[in-house]
Amino acid sequence: MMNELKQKEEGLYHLEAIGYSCPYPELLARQALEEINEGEVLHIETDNKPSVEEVPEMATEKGHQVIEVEQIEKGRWLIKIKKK
Amino acid sequence: MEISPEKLAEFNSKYSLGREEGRGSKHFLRIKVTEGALTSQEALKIAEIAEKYGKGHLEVTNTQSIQLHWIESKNSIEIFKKLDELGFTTDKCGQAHPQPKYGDVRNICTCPVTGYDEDELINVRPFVKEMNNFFIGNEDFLDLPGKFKISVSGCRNDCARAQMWDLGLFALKNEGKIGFGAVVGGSLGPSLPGPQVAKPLNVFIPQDLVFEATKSMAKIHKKNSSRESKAKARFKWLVDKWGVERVRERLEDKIGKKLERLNYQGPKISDKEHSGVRKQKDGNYYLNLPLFGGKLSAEEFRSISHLAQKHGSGELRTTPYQNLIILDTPQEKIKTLRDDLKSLGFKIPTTNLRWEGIGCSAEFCGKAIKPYPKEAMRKVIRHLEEEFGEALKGLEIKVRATGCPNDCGLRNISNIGFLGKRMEDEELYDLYLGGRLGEGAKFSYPIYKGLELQEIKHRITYLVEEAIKEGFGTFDEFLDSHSEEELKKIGIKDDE
Ligand code: SF4
Repeated sequence: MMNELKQKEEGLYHLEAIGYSCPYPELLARQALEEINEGEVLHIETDNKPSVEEVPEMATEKGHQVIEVEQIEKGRWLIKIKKK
Repeated sequence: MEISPEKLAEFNSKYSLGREEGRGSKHFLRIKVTEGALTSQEALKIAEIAEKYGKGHLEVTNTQSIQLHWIESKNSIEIFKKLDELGFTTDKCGQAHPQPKYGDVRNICTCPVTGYDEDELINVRPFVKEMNNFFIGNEDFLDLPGKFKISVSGCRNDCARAQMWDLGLFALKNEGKIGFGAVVGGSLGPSLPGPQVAKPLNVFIPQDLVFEATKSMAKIHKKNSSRESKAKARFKWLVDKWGVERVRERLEDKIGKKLERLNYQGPKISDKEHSGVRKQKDGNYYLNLPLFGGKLSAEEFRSISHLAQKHGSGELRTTPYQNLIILDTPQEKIKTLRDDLKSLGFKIPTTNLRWEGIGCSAEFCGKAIKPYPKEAMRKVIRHLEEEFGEALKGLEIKVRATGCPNDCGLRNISNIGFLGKRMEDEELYDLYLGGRLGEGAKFSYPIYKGLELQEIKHRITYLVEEAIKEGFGTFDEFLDSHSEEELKKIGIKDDE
């Protein structure tokens, strides 16, 4: 099970939250958003369907910008958030 | 709240929140009460958690867990830490993952008065404890194709309902030796191949092999159940595909022993609650407090815990009928205990209906609207009590209500069951009759469709009235002696 925050390129981070049920993807995303800098982008990969709603909700509540939620394959999503 | 990656990985193997969307709750927390056992001190702490994070609301489930609602993700680590300190974990509720993955072994359902019941064949608590110690947090059993549900009964009631689980173990005596019978592949929900009464394995499992057999069965599920789709991922699909004989062979291969063949369909008697006040092996008494649907406020839970401490040893048990048992009360204190409970608003009734009535949590899961199944079940039972009073005694009527075909409310196995049907802005019910477990186990059949609760009440009243009039010993006997057509007519007496 992976939950490492990895830098993909300048200003873009990837967090793999595969195999985590609620509440973990949201908690991991919260932590990651605290770690990165304003203006940087976080991609959270999840296979937990409720997180597709909950992670963007949490991000919006915290004032970040949800760029996109993309279904990358059956049962897997990529949530893209820009830290504000 | 900060948490180290190591602790997070540990928590992820033991705790999760379930997703729901009714009454403004997004998440539930289903605390496993292993062996249904908790002390007053533990109950007080759980009441505190419910109060602080879950609007002071608790529910005892029919798998003996305690469920809280309105849990917010941001508080979860704080809650998990508190549970961890107490030694409690939760079901892993991976059902939100759309793939056939992350199934876990759910709270093992067991007889709540095991070790205390005067009549029991065997105290099963040590066996269940060994299983719980093995499965809880065990990474090897956290990614099953679908969840795996187990029950173990040592009493003569099979109160843990062996035939509705993936693996149901029930104590039996074979040539003077006490061991276990087993049934496999049961489930009440609609996933493939549809609701199933668990099939008999027809072997005698000696006590020293029961843990090994349970572990092996969970491994068989893990390795062989389908990962093709969620609809096929439960053990029942494999049992249906393979047949019992192949499951048995595989089990014997795994444990490395041939098991003695024994003919049975399942437990002879099943699905009976240890209701009322009963004498324990040690001469003290236990009192089973019907929660009538399992709902409880934190304040009530606290008060009950104090009474368990004051009049007993402080030991409490959750039951598979959504009730609470207070153990170890000396005979001379029973009356005061009853009086104290009465002053809290809890009455100890004289018929089994309140103890055995079950309703699902549809209002929270979001799949139903008012009147919710739990409330509907309570209304029907209250109505029957008012109409017939003591005449209901011995009829063994089980009224159960469920909000959707998933059947968390057990209407499939009840002699009176109703299934909610969500319409635009009202909820109607289909009425089912004749389900049962034990000897002659079968699922209930629909008799009327799409009725309002008021109408359901009338029709059940006519049916029960007729059963009493015809002088049948039990409601099941009455149902068995009439055809579906006859019953249909009896229930609509007014319209004729
Ligand atoms: S039976 Fe259906 S409505 Fe009731 S709790 Fe289960 S899933 Fe929800």
